[in-house]
Amino acid sequence: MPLDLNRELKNLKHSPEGGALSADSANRIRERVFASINFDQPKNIGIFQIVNYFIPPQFAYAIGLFALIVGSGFFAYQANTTLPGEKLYGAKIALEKTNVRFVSNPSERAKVQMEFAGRRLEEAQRAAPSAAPEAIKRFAQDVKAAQAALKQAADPVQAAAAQKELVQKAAEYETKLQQVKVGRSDRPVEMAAINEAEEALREVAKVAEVVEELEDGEVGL
Amino acid sequence: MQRIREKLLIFRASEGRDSKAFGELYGLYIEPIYRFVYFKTGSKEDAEDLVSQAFLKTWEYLIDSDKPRVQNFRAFIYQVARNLVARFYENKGRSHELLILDEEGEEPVIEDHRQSLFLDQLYKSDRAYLADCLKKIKDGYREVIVLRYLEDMSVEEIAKITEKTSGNVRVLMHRGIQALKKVIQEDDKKSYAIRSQQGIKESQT
Repeated sequence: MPLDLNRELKNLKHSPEGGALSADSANRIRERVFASINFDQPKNIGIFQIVNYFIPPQFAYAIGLFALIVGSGFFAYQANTTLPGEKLYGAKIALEKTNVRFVSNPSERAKVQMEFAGRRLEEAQRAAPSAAPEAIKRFAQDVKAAQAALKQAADPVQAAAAQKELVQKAAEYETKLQQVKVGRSDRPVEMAAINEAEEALREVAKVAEVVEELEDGEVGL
Repeated sequence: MQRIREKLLIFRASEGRDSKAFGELYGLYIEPIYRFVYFKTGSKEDAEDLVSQAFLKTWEYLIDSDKPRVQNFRAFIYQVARNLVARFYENKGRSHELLILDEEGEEPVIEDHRQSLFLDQLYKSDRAYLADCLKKIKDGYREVIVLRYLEDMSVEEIAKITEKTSGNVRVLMHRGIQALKKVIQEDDKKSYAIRSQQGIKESQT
């Protein structure tokens, strides 16, 4: 009778003598266990905890790189809405700088830089008071960078068009900067940044005046 | 699929202190753990008590963020139960038998060449008898037989739970089955002798 003992042993678990759990025993054990456990403090589980729990450390780098490549679009979208002082703000600035580098035409690059300057100004209006100076400083830097890019422009027609756009933007930004200035006169750090930004805008206006004075459409930058 | 489901339940129980998730884990393992402990202690009352403790200890471990994560819940809870039984015997002043193994072997093929009709009838009608014979062999053998034949565990899983090598587990299974057969055969001889005597008496009256 080969394997009879095997079969009987397997079937043993269904009998009470084989340790089958009776309903009464099951209830007693359940009551004892669940009465002793304090379930009153459930914790919220976030995406970070889920990822941290399930991804082995040795794969975390590879998966992180993959997620970075594949998720860069989503990431860029998320980064786009951040303000100074927030976690992804550095990434946002880095993405914008990368965008600027890919613009080969200096006139176009000047426009893009000026566009980014406008974003800095909006951030300064929305950011916390402690984080606003960073946005204002970056605004001033972007305005100067726009001017610097325009100086490299070889095509006079494109340069003139870009200059015109920069001047329009500068006027618009001047108004916004005055709004940012309101209520900050007692904050020296912010005022210093605002003064630097105003100086950068004045430079744009000054160049525009020089361009208007030149005859024959010559661009004297 | 079962493994993934278990991992999710463990995650919810440990990270979220989710009672429902722990309840599901409890439901999955209460019967096999009870059976395992019952065969080690021989007492339903002791088994109930120890099984309750095993699940409580498991919950406490899961929610303790300082403890390493449970990778294999099945092996973990069996180890907890096993350790509790060992401590139970220590407190009672009884020692668990230690088996020293010095050889490795193949998993035994269970064969019984005896053509005893009596034994056949006994196997089919009285599982209590088999359980009784199982209780008469050493705990180390019984533990491995229960995990292998009643709980369908692999040799590797049993090795993990009992903290032995796979080779040692195979040897234990082989020796355990031999011991069980010996108990059954000796018991069968006694029963046959008794029945023979009863048969002689009946013929005389």
